[in-house]
Amino acid sequence: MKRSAIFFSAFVLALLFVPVLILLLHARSVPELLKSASSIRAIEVTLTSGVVALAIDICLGMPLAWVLARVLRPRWGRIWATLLVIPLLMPPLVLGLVLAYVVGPASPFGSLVSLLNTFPGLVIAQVYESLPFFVLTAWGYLSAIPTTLEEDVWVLGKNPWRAFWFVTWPIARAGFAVAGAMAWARIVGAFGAPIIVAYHPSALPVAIWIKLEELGLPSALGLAVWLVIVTLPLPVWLNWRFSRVRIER
Amino acid sequence: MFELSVESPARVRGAFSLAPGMHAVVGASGAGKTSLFRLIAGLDRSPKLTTHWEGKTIDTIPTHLRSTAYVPQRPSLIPHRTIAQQVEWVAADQCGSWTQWIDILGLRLHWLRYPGELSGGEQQRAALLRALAADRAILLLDEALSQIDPPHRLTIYRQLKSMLAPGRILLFSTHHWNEAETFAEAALFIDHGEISGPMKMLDVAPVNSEMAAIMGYIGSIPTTQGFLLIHPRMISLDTLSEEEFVIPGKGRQQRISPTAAAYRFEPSGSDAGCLIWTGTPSPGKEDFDSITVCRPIFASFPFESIENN
Repeated sequence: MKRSAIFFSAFVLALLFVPVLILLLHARSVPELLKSASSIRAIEVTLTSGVVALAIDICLGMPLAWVLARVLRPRWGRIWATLLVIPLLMPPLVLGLVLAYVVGPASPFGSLVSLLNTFPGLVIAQVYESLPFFVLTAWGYLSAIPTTLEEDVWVLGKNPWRAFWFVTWPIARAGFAVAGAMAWARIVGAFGAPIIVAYHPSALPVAIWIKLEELGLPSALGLAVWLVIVTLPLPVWLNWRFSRVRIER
Repeated sequence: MFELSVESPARVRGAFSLAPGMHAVVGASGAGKTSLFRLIAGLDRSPKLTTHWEGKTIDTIPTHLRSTAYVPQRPSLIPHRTIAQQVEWVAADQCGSWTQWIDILGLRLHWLRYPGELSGGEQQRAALLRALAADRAILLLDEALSQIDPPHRLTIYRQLKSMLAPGRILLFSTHHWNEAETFAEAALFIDHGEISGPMKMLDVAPVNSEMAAIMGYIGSIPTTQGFLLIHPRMISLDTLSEEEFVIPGKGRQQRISPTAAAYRFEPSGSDAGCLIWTGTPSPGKEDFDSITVCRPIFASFPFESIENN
């Protein structure tokens, strides 16, 4: 029984790894792509817009997750969770269409300053695709931290702010780190919304799509290796660093 | 002086005031001891709650600004900080001297350890030390020493009592009546959320059968003056003086250890159940036909120990 379970798990893991192996086979074309200006530009755009979008996710998402986990009554939590899941589940293409309408010349806002095909437009599209993932992940982690941990030092004269930094933050930061990793993976992989809101400047996913259309599958796969190289290290490291969380006592 | 008055919808109801000193909160598990402590500490609020400390209302004062330090029964240490880190962090704002307690509580060897590396009793001692380091005027111990072995527990209670600064209150909850009797000046009783007292320990008498059970009474016998409550300490097999109450019946003792004997006594002429207790052996009286109750206490309610049912 145990042996067959191990065999089964190994089989599923191997299946999941097939795409990684196929990408590695195309690793030969990776250095060549650095000679192409458009590829270098796409990598730059991905990294710069990604960092800005992640910073916005953290600034907006951390306080929201905190309020959801600590300030609101638990029975309201389900309503908030549902409200958050709707943008999370919205097809990115639909999200892109709506955003293109809002920031584009068709709307009152966009007629003043159109953000279509601009760097800020790209960042907005990435934030919309990633923020719900950040909030839901961070909220889940924070809710798992018992409030009694903080109560037990309030009753010894520590104010909530100092209690948070001494007691809760060392545990909560792991949750924020994993939420950041999730958001980063969504940001750099965002395709549905950016392709409509910001075809230019093209981040890597859109650039890969353009390569596929213009030059075919093999060169697109080469650029896809770059996307993986850019995307993976941060979430993999954060997961490795913070995956072991201890809150029991 | 601490004063509190609370009504429904809070989980506990009643009003009392406490003078400085060491006092006990006594009640069965689930009677509402923890609810009362949480109200005093400001962790729970209730619309019908008024609290005063030294003449001033403290109802609106947030938990961390109150004069209270609270140690709950459950583990309360911060799991990812060493004992040293968290005690020194709590003590950082205070000027009181607490370092002597490290040795009194036997925590020197555990000073640099994490709570997870300590046993339940050691964790409770560390939590007590942390609360002492907070140096508050009212210290609330909610069965905070329950996992410490009895000899150490008694030593700690004794030290707490002797080192209690004037003007301060130490309120501890327990369901061990002998601890309350030995160390408290007065006791509050909680029964199904109803608070009664405080009663001075010198003239404490049970007001209901729950309280009689906690205080160790073993039964009652109906008399013309009311129900005579019987406690093992009141029973003598010899007739001693005039202030006594002699009950005829059939009794038997059985030695269970060099210093203890198990007694069983059936009073004659009443439908009260038999009395069972453990006491010091009475040589030569394996069978006896009456017991003498010294310093009798009469109550308006009948009482029958659970053990005797």
